[in-house]
Amino acid sequence: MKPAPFKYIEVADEEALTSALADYGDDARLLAGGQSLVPMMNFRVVSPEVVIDLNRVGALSYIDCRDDVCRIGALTRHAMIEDSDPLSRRCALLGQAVRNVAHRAVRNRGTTGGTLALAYPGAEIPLALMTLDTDIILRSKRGERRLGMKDFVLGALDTSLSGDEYIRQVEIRMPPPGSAASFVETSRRHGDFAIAAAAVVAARDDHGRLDYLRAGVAGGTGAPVRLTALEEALSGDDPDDGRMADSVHEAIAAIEVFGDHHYPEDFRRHVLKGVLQRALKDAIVGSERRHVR
Amino acid sequence: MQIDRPFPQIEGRLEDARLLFGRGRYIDDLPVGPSTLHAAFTRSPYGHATIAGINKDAALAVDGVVAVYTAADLGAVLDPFPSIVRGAPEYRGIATGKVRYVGEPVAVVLARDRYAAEDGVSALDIAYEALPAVVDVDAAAAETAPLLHDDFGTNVVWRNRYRYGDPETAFREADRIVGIDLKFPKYNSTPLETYGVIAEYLPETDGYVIHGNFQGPFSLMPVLARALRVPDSRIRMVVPQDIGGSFGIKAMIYPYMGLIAACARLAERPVKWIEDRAEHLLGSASGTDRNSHIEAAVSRDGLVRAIRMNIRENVGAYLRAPEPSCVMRSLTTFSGPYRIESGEIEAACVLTNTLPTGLNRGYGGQQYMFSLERLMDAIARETGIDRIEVRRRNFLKAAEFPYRTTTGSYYDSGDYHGCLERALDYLRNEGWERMREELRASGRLVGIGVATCVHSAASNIGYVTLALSPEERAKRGYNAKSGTNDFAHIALDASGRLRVQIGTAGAGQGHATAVAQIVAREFGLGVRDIDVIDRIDTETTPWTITTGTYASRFSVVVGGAVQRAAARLADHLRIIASSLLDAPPDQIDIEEGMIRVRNSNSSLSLRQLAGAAQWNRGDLPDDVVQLHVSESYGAPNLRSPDSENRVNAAATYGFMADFAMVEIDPVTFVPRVLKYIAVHDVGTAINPQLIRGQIAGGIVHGLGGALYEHLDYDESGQMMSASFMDYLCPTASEAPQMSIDHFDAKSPFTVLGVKGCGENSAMSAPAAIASAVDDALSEFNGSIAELPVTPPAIWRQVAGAS
Amino acid sequence: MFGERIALDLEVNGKPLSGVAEPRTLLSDFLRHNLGFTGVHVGCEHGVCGACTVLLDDQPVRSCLMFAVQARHHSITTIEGLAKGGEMHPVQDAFRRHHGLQCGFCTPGMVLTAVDLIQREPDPSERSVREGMSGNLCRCTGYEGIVQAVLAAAKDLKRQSQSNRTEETQ
Repeated sequence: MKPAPFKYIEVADEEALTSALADYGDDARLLAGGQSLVPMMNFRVVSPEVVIDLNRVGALSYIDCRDDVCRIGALTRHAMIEDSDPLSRRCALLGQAVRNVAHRAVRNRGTTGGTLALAYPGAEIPLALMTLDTDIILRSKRGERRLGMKDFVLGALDTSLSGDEYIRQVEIRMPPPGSAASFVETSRRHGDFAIAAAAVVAARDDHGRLDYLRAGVAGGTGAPVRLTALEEALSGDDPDDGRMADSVHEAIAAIEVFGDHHYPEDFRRHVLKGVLQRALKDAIVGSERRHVR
Repeated sequence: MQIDRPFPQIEGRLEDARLLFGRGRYIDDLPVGPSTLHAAFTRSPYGHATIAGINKDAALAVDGVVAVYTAADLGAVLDPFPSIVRGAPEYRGIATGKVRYVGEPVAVVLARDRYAAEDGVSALDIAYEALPAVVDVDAAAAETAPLLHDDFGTNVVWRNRYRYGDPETAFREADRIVGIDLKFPKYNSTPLETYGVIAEYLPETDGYVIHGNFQGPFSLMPVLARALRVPDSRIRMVVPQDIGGSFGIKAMIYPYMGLIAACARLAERPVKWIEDRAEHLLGSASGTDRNSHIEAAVSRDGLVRAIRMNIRENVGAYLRAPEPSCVMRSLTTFSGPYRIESGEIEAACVLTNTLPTGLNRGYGGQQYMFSLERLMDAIARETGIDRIEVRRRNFLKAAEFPYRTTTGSYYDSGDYHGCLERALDYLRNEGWERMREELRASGRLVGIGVATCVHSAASNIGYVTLALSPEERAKRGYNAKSGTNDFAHIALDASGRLRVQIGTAGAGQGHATAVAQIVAREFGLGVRDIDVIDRIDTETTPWTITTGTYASRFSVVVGGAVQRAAARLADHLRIIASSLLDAPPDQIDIEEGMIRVRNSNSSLSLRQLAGAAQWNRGDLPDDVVQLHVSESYGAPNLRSPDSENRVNAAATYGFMADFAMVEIDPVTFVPRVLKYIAVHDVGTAINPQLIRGQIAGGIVHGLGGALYEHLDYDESGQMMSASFMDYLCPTASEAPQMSIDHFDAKSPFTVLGVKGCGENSAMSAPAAIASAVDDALSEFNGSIAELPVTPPAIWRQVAGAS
Repeated sequence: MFGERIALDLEVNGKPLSGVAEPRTLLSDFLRHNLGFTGVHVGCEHGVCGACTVLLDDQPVRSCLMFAVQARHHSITTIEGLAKGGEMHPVQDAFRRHHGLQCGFCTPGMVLTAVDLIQREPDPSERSVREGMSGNLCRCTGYEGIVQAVLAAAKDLKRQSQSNRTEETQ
């Protein structure tokens, strides 16, 4: 399990990165954390001719939370998110999600941009970002563009990223103060990719009514899915168990779910419903407590 | 002279410091010369295909590649590996004409380093014509199944029938017949260090030097030597100081030792190969998966009078030594801890397009104990007798030992009721049943499971020959097989320090520490006063056909030899001291490094004695008495099988009482083992800490097989678990909290009274955990008949019930 | 362009070292075979088993998932560099006392992971030790001795730092 030979280009700033991508884009792979790319190269599942290493582009590594927007540089390591106080205060969902990503040694290298570019189904951070209101800023020699998560991740291992483009930044519109988040994932072992995962954030207005609800699921769904119909159906007065169960059932029935050798489709749907219901309950109950306090 | 002292103990082990400082010496750490070539295998991407052509040109053109060999090239210096079953399809370790499993070696690329060798593998051009594959054992046994070995005419490569006592009468007169169908999965113990071989051919002697992280030499050395066409002693087998886990799997490195040695001969240069993880999962070895039916003739009060069993054993694409012994291992403790006096087993080994099988920790034990213990639970369910009570009623009683089982095993000692009671004490003291009720009341699915099993240790090589019929064994010219033996050498150097050499290499068990304890006790010394050499170089280490680290034999056989050698050296020292101190030998005591005349002030230190005996040998009388002693030890009561297929399959038989507590998430159906209790009769405990370590490791191997680890294939023969992302080894997070204790029913037969403990819960845990899952799913009438217990499998049981 | 070799300087266990590697050379292979740090063990080469874990600028990483060239100008700690003056680090000593190792192959990665875990969480619960160590596979011990060792090491280190603090204030 040794990688095939490649040409190694190390870039020190965004300008060099942009030019290297313009020169080699289609034949190159960007090396950020390498926690997925290097295993694939070791297995020789991918053997790029050129590897562009952007680990020394320090300008892409930051967490900048102000007002109601949080900007995260593409080279920000998962461990930085895990350890970030402002993020865990203002965007608890991301903090919970990141703790479910593999193990600390992997989180010390893995990056926000890397996990987004790979778009592995069942990956936690893309689910959290899909659930929140997130824009992805992409850049190339041709210029910069901004895509919503839904337009960025197209399916399993499939994104809108062009060969000459890199992910520059993630911009998250923070949930309102007093919101509660819940990230529920099921996997057979601690740290594995999710069989099924659900992310929910809920907040209430002055009258205690649910006026902000974000919900998403991943695992067997290709790209993570935001469940807007469910969000609408459950906003307003607190749903009782019946209403919640019906909405969850409808939401999961409406999305495309794939089975595989290990987990058949009907089982995945069953578990998706289970984790979604748990996350909804956690977040709704959590937000109530905050309101009362 | 009999020394009656407790074994001295130390904190930690003699082995620990070098391993903790990162100074272990594993196979990949050995220095190699600059002429050494590095090997990588091209492996089949198909489960079943004809090799239509191999073009080496592109691979040979790769920078750094020196040679590419296929079966046709290697066949010039390497014969097929002999099989235990005469007439079984040829096994060469590399594909000839056809590939029969994904990962089967097809070619070897030799290059200046491993990176370049893999470049050669990527460039090698092989044309395949795909054939239909078959991976399920029952499907492969069907007449219409695709044939793996066309000339052989069937995929059923071996079958046999064993009958003991009078099963017909027992079943005819039974009040009730309880039967179940079971599937045991394919998995292996997956040592964290993969295989590694460094081989060199010596043309001047027509011999080989092979370094490998091998558990042998034992009976697989002759298999290797035959294939390499040299006498056993022309292979210098060197096992490095440290092995990163072995678990039986490392015994199955032998075909690769043959292939790499053959490469070295053809290339006329040393060749090194370090297996990678993907290769290990695809192409090393595994335990067998087994489909079976087992049924019991049961009396009204729950007593089992006889067992009948039908076994379909999946041995993968080739039947290779030591298979089909996995089936035979089931016979060694056929009646378990119970008095079952009749039985019948019908067994068949079937070839499929999967990784060939071999030794794996517990070898055959986990498969069989799963059947027998699932059966006991089924009997409890059908008779309405409590699961534990039904076991108690069938247990042999302490007064009945030694006890000859119906298959010929000679159980040495035990107190099964007492040992189970000790385990139940833990269960009660830890409040398991209360905890289960509380968790259930809060809506969780929780269950407690039990397994009570006999573990055999120090197996009789003769049990393997049950693969042949009594008629075949009776033929003129047939060499009967029996016994297990080993040696130890001990020497006192001129500075008064003791050094012990044994013929086996450990892989983490702490052999050096245990050997030092045995010797230290004899001489009244501290454990750190003894140096131990526990690595193998067959050029200088004496070995026998049974020498090796397998079948929980170390403490029994090697320990026995060490004890004998130490005692004899002590006798020699007394004789020498008697002339120096002018006192009769039987009045001389050795303790704390001093030689003392009893009831007198006359003494000398071990150092003084050694100095005198080494430097002034001429002035001492008896020159027969030396400062170095070699002793061998053959475990007792081991004969070759009789004409009724009865054999005492092992030197000693311990007992295990295991309990598992399982929780299943009621929504996602993810199971987790919360707690585990294991109280095992291991006979005399030389080192309780090492014993606990062995049992704990075995529990998690069993846990892996029960819930997580599965070498599974899709219908086309693709392995669905060819990486550590999909082959799920349990982590610290999945491992249960454990309460482990040992119970001492000394063996009256082994030198130290020990009973071995290397495999224990690796065999019993799958059964105990399945039993706990049943209990957790009791409201759904859950009954686990197949492992691993996955969330979808539980979901199907629950959905089926509601 | 293939077969290109890159010169690199890095610091290992506090000492400046240099070497030459192909761009594709994995850091694990470079540390083992070029620099001789054979305490870095290779168990899977796809980042799951954790045996090759080293500290990169004091943070645990999988050395099989980095190219050697990426370690240029970084500082690396391997198991060989953990003990000071031949004295075991408290985590090593706890592994020894609690039988936290058998074959020793996972041990370097386990120990370095534990050192970081205790640094971030000085008073861990058993559950958080189990989760924190779950990125490292062991096939021998059943994790029993490892979990006990990490819990004990955390206590030892806490006691040590408390007594250091007392000394400082005196």
